[in-house]
Amino acid sequence: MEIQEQIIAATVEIFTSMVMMDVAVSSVQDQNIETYEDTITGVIGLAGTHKGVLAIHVPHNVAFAITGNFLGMEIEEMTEDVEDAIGELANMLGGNVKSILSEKGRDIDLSLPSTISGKEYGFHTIAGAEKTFIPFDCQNGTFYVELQLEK
Amino acid sequence: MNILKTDLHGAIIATAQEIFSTMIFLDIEEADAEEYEQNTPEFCLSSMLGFGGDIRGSIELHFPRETAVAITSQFLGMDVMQIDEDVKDAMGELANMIAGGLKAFFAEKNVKAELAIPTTVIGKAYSTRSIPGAERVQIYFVCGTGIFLADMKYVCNS
Repeated sequence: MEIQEQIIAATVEIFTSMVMMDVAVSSVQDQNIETYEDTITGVIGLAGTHKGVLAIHVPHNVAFAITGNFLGMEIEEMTEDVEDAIGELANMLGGNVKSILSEKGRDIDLSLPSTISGKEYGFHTIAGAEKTFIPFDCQNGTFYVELQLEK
Repeated sequence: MNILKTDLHGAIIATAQEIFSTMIFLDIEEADAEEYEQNTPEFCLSSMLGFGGDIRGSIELHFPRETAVAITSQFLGMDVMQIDEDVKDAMGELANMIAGGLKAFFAEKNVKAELAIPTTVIGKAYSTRSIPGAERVQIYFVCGTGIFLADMKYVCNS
């Protein structure tokens, strides 16, 4: 299975089982977003036999819904709970990607997850990295999962 | 395994000073953090790099626009006027070099760490955060024309 399909399967599984939210690959297949607006990005580094970065870019309103599902309460503004939830999503996705790229994930170490949140920002990695970029739709909007691997 | 915060603070300063002096030909000094903590500069470019192994974490460099442009101009030996691809690449490379220096510092302490790849965030009105409970070392640097912040967050695996 291609890595793109494996990331799709991992994302759908995490959202279904952990976030209790139905998600599907978006019909609009953007391959790049220059500027994220009112968005939060969860990011985690992969180091070892494969070096790279896994990121999930989530519009604020979608992030509030995800966090609300996680915690079982209504979330209407950016709080540390939202940042922690999106960081944890990056961590879970990173864990899955680690296992996809290396048997039992033993040759890859994950960094700590971080989040970037703001009104307007671009997210860039090094030139020449191999990029997989997948938009997903959920009830509240579209979010993006991105994997960049050094060639 | 134990990395003392004070040792790490010193290692970040030594590594950053060496890289700036040998690669960019700029002298940098640790700034008085209190002055900037009360009056945080507006950062518009952040380069970040994660690492994993016996120690997991990330190093982030946060730059105001003028500092990023000035450092890149000096680094490339040409006048850079605005945040462009060159600035993005140069600041990512700077994070990579500083993380490489810290990896060597960890190795001296028998602490294994592997590096991820750098990412650069460019924008306005954004903030970054790591998971709760991570250790943190923040150092403001003054470099001729401006200041920047090195912000390292980490957890040691026992």
